[in-house]
Amino acid sequence: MNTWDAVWAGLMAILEPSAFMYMMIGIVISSTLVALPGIGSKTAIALLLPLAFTLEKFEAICLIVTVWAVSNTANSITSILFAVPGGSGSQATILDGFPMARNGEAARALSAAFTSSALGGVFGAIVLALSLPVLKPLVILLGPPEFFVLILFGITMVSTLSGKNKSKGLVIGILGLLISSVGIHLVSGIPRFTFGNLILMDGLNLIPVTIGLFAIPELISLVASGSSISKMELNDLDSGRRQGIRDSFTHWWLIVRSSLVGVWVGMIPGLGSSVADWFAYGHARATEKGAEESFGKGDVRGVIAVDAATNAKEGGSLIPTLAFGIPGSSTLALVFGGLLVVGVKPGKEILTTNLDVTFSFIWLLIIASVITSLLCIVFIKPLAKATQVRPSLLVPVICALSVVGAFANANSFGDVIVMAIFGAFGYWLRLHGWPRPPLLLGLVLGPEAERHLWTSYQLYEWEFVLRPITGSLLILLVLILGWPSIKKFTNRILGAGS
Amino acid sequence: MSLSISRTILGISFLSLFTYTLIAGLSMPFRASMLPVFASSAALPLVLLAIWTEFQTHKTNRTQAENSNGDLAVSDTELTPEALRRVSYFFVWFICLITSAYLFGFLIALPVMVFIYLAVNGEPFKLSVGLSLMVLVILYGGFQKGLVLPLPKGVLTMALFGS
Repeated sequence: MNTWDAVWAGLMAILEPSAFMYMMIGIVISSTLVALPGIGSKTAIALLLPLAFTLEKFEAICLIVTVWAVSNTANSITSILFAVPGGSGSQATILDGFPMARNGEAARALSAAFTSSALGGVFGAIVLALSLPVLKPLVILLGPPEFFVLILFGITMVSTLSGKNKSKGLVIGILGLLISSVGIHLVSGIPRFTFGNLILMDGLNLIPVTIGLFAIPELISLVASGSSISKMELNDLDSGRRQGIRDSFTHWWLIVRSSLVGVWVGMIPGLGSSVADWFAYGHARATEKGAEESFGKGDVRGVIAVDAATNAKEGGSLIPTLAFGIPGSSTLALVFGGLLVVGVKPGKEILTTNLDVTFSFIWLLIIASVITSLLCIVFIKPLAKATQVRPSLLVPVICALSVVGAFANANSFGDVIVMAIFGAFGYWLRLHGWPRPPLLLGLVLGPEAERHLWTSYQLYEWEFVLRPITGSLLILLVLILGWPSIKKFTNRILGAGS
Repeated sequence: MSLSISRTILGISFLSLFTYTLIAGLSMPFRASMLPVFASSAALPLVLLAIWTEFQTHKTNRTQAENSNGDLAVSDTELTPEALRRVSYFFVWFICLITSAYLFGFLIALPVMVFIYLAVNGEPFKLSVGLSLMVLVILYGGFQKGLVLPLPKGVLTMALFGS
C-alpha cells in the first residue's frame, strides 16, 4: 500500500458510520469523565477497554485512541474555573487561566484554551505525519538487540521521570516486567510464578491490573478528600467565547511555537505528560512581548501556549510509540496494550503493511481534537457542572463498573480478585510515593522485551550489547541514570580545584 | 499502623519478592529464566538504593508531596485521621462488594452495595435508589444483554435457587 492510498484508507476507515459513532462516544465519555473530579484519562480508558475488545478493529481504534487523544482538552475546565488541575498536563493552565476567571473572563479563557488545544492537536498530528517518511527506513534498520535496548530505554525514561527518587521508579518498572512473566511460558511450557494457581496460569491481564492500579487508588483518594472539586458558583460562562477563539487565531505564531515545544517534549518517553505545559509556559513567558509583567495575572497568551502544547505533545508521543513500540507515557502504554489486544502491533508492521492504521491515528488526532474543542466550547456549562458532582455519588458507581470491567476482560472472577489486590497495592504505592506508571509500562512491554532479548541472544549471544546502536544506547542509558552523580562528582572536583 | 512501619514493610516486601524471583528464576530452564533473572538481578540493588534514599530523605523531614511529583503526591489532607478513617470504611465496603458479588452475583450484589454506600453517606433516598437502578440497568441492559456477557449469578444464589 503506497502512502497516499494509506492516507485515504485511514480516513475512510474512521469515517465509516460505526467507527465514527465510536469516535463520538469516545469524545463524549472522555470529556465528561475527565471533567469529573478524580477521574483521569487512565481511569476512563481502563473502564472502556473491556468494551473495546468486543468491537471491530477500526471501531476499537476509534474508541481507544479518541479517549486518549482528547483527554487534555476538557482538563482545562477545572484548572481555569477552580485552580484545580484536571490532570498532570494542565497544571500551568492555572497560572493565567484562573486569574482570567477571577477577572470575569472565564468563558474567554476556556474558549481560548479549547481552540488552541484543537490547533495544537492538529499541529501535532501533522508533525507525526511528516515524520513517517523518516521513521520508516529507521525502523527497518533496527533489529532485535536495538529494540530490546530501546524498550529498556523507554522503561528507564518513564521510571526516572515518574518521581524524585529514580530508583523507586526503576524498581516498579522492573516489577512490571516480572509481572508480565507470570503464567505459562509460551515457548518452553514452564509455569512461572504461578504457585499452582489456575488464575495465574494464563498470566495477569492488563485490564484488571490497570483498573486496580489506577482507578481504585484514585477513588480512594476521592474518598479520603471527602469533597467535590468545587463548591463555587459557575458564573460568567456565557460571554467572551468569541473573543477567546479570536485570541487563539491572533496569536497563531505562539500556537505554532508552543506546539513545536509540545511535540519535542512528547517525543521523549516519560517526559511529555507532566512537563510539556511548563516548558511551553516558560517559552511563552520568555519570548512574548510584555509577558514578564502580564503573565500570571490573567494573560490569555499563557493559556493559549499551554493548551496548544499539551495537545500537540500527543502527536509527538505517538512517534516513538508507533515506530519503536515504546509508549511515551503510562496512558499511552494503556492505549498501546489495548491496541495489541485488538491486533494492532506498533513497530515495523504498522509503518509498512498496516500504514492505513497509522494514518487513521493521525486523522483521529485531527478530527477528534477539532470536534472535541467545538463541543467543549458549546457545552462549557454542563461540563463545568460535572466538576461539582459529589465523590459519594461517583465512588460506588465507578467501583461497581470497575468490578464488571475487570470481570468482562476474560469472564473470570479471578480477574476481579486481581483488580482488588492491585487496587490495594496501588494505594499502598501511592501512599509512600512509589510511582505506578512504570509498572504498567513494564507489564505492557515485558513480552516484547523477552522476545527481543531471546532473539538477540540467539543471533549474537551476549555480544549483542556490543553492536554499535545497541552499545551507544546503553551508554546513553548509563549516562542518563548516572548524570546526577557524575555532576555531583565533577562539581566536587571543580570545587576542590578552585 | 504508622506510615513509617508501612513504608518499611513495603521496602522489605520488594526485597523479599525480588530475592524470591531471582532464586526461582535460576532454577528454571535457560530460555524461561532469562527475563526473571535479568530483571531480578537489576532490581535487587535498586531496591536497596531506593530504601536507602528513602531513609535519607525521611531524615530531612520532607513531606510526601515534596518527595514525589504532583501526579503522584498524596496531599496532607488525605493523611488526616478523619481521611484515613474514611479510607478504612471504604476498604470494608469494597471487600463486602467483592464478597457479595461472588456470593449473590453481580446483578443483585452490585446495585445493593451501591445503595448501601449511598445511604450510609447520607445521600437522599430517591437519589440512592435511582443510582442503584441505573447501575442495574447498565449491568443488565449494557453488559448482560448488550455485550452478551454472562455475568456471574453468585455461588450462594446458585446453591439456593439453581441456575
